Amino acid sequence: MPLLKLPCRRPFSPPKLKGLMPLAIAAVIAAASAADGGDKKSVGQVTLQVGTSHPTLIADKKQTSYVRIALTGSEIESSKKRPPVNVAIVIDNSGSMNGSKIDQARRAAIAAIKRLRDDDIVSVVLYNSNVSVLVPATKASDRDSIIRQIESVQAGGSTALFAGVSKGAAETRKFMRDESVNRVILLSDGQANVGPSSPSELENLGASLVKEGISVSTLGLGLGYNEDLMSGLAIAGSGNHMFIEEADDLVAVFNKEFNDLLSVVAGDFEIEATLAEGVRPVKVLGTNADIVGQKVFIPLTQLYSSQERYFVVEVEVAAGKAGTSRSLVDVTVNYINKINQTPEKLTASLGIRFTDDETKVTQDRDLETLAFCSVQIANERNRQATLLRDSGQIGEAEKLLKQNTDELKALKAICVAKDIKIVLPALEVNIELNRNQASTVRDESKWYSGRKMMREAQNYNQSQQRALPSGIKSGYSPK
Amino acid sequence: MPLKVLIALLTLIAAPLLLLGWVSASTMRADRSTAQRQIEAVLRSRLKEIDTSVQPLFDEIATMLTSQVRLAIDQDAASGDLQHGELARFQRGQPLVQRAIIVNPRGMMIYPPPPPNNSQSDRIEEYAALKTLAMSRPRRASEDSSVQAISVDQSKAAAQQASAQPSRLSAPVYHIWYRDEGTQLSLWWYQESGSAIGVMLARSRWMAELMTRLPNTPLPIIQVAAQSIYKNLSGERRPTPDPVEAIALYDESNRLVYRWGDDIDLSKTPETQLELSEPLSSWNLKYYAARPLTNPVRFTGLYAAITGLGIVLFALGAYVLTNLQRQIRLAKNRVTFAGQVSHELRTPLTNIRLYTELAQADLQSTDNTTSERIAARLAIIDGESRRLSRLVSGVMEVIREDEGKRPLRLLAQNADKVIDDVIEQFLPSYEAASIRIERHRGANQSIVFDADCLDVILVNLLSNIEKYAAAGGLAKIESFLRSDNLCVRVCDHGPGIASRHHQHVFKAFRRLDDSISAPSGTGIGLTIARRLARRHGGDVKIVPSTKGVCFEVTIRVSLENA
Repeated sequence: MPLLKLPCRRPFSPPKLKGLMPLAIAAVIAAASAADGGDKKSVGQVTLQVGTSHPTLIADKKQTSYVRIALTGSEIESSKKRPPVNVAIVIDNSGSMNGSKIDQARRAAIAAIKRLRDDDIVSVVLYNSNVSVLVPATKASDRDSIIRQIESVQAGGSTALFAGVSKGAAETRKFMRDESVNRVILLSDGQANVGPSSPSELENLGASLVKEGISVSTLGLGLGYNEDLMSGLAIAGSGNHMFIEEADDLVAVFNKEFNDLLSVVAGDFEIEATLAEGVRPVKVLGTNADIVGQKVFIPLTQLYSSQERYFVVEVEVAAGKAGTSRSLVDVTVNYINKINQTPEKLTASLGIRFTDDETKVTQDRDLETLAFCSVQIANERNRQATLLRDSGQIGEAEKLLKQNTDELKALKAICVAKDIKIVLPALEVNIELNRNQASTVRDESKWYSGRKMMREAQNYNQSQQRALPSGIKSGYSPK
Repeated sequence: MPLKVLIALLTLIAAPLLLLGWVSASTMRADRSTAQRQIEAVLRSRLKEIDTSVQPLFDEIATMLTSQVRLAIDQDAASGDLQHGELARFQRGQPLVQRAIIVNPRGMMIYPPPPPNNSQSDRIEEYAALKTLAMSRPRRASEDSSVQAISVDQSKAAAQQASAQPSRLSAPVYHIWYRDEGTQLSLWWYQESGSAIGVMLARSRWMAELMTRLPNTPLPIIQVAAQSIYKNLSGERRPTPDPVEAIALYDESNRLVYRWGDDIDLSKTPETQLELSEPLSSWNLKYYAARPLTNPVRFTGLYAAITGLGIVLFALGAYVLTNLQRQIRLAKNRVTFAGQVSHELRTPLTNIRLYTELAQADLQSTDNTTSERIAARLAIIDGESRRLSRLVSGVMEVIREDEGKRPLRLLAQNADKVIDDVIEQFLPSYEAASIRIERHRGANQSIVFDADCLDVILVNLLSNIEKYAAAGGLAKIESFLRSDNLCVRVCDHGPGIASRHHQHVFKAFRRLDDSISAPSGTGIGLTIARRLARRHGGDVKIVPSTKGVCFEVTIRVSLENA
């Protein structure tokens, strides 16, 4: 029996031991200078950008504001060596997968395995009522025999989803290295009906795996799967969630997922935001962050090449006197540069000032931050709309979605006027999504797949996944 | 058959059968339950092995977390920052940990800090739940109510002491409580100061670890390869092997957590089950077999044997009983017979004595007619003694077996003459009973046969008419030759014999009317007639007739001239 191997991303060493962290930059920036566009820091593979929607706040009033912490992965040149991946492909081979679905799943898995390099690690786990390890974690250099094994997969039985993911993670854990990108990719078309099967149980499992640096992506196939469970697992598991209505699209979607997986530039993030005196963190939108006192700890497993990943922290700012400035937040980001395997650190600070002049507040608005924050706020409302629709309050759900559409549209108009192009794609995608969904909630016949699309879109927004949700057919790709 | 005898017979059969059945059935059941117990013991030991194989998980978790908690506590004691200290980092970074809790010696939860008043409700709920967990924490072995009374100063001193050197933690204790989806495990340590440190384990995570340690369902790789070859060769899929067994893990509410083995239906009763060891003692491992491991007791063989035995016993019993009954009847018949024979014998004897006395008396007188009279008397004596002789030989015929019987005396003589002689003997008595004789002669020639034999037969038949069919007033005697047989038909117009009695009347001692008012008789007349006829290569039968009864006597004869 092997000894329990549960590596934490960081050893629980005293902070002084981590003082060796290279390139530590203590950025002390005057609140006034931070007021325009926030604080932007770039080191190694990642760029950190911290901004607030309202750098100037009205004086003598307690108010809510939003802080956006954005991380952007650098672009990797194709010639450059990418970090090795350690992936477990967990395939549902229950009875419902029989036919073209299992056939496409086999093809997708084989296509994915062909893209791996020799030093990548791959394992394949199958689950129905029982769990079988088809290919125990092994080097991808053995791909011919792996492919032969996958070709033999047949479908039949119930769905022990939890155990499948558990065993997939266990396979990944066997060869976990600091530099590797560790991921479990779950492909299922059904409900979990053997073993733990509530969304919260799966979310907790995902959250636990993220702690040790394993992310979980979920691909929901067809109309029969439990989207709450699958999307919840992907969000908690810091992975992508995709809804695949037609089995024929599976290979393409699997390919997209692998694109992400193969382009990780940084991982094992520790994002710590310390809010200044008089600023209370309320919540982090769409993220299972840990808030202790004035500190906010945000989990993030990896950042892909050229991916921008941001978090919106809702804060409550105590009343301030007009004309005064105040520090708002200090952000520290520790992560592992997956290209050259070095730990790196980024810091940034941000301040706010108070004024009596309402127009000044509006004028000073950081529209880019505001737009991204609005997308996340709209996403929260979108989740609320799903809940309302589930409880039969169709009218209220529709109202929320329409409100989203209108607000985002208004914001888009302002951004267009001010020529802030960077936010337009995200706004457009969400305007489109909310508008479509507003009609879907009314239509009983579309709701079944519509709900899955909503969940996929919510996950897309929350994790700022790069693959477009299936509900969007527009021709551009968001950055 | 008398009821008593029948009951005795049935008891005789039923008692051993029931006993046999009960003994065999209970033996079979005992055998089966022994086999079942043995199988169960084997299966339980298998489940025990599985339990043993997963048990180190909880020890390893405890050991690992103990060292990490100790490190974190020491650092936090040194830095004094509990909120953002190492324990908080431990809680965030350790995948197995959901929440860390610190309870001060006075029983107050000092970590995590209470959430701000306007926090989201789930955070407030979680805090409340953690407080409940802290309240229900396992008590220290030495802890009693007095611990609650430790003063602040004392505990401070203890804390300072602890910070000076690596803290000494008590051995970790697992604590179980039920919240949300089910069993939640937490680990608790006590510091010397009396502070308790608890770690609520991430339920999903330890379950995942548990599943990881439990066996996978092996994929029959060789079979898969064989399958594809088979498929290539025959173009169809090879039949999958029959399922054999499955083992499943169930939680405290009997929900399926994990299963492995074959894909069989788990809704049936498991063959056996075993509780996991601490701390998950409310969880069960269950073993399922695709088919019952012990064959159900099959009674069909036993039933067949018992039925067979029953039939044999019944047949045997019935045989013995009927035999016995026959013996009894025979004995009874013999007694009756002896009485009747004695009576029959006495009549001619009385006549003989009477006529002998008369003859003697006649000798006294010197009459002219004396010699005539004596001659007449002697003739009667002669007749009566012949009758006696016939009676005796008839009785002999019945009671003797074949040996010692009189051989046939075959002489050539006129058949009709012999018959007429017999009829002549009956003339007086028939006349007295006003029975008319109708005679048809068809055998008026010399043939070879035993005249005595025919004589006895006919006497019996004719005397029967006299006794039983006198009311008919007719005795028709017909004789003729049929190939090698001499046939004599003796018919009457009496009451006749019902056809169901046709066979019985020939049986010895069988009289259709055996009442006291019935005419005297031995019940052997027809028996004698038939036996004699059969000895003579013929038979006596009842032939259909319109009125009364008609006996046909046939005896094998040879024609003299042939």
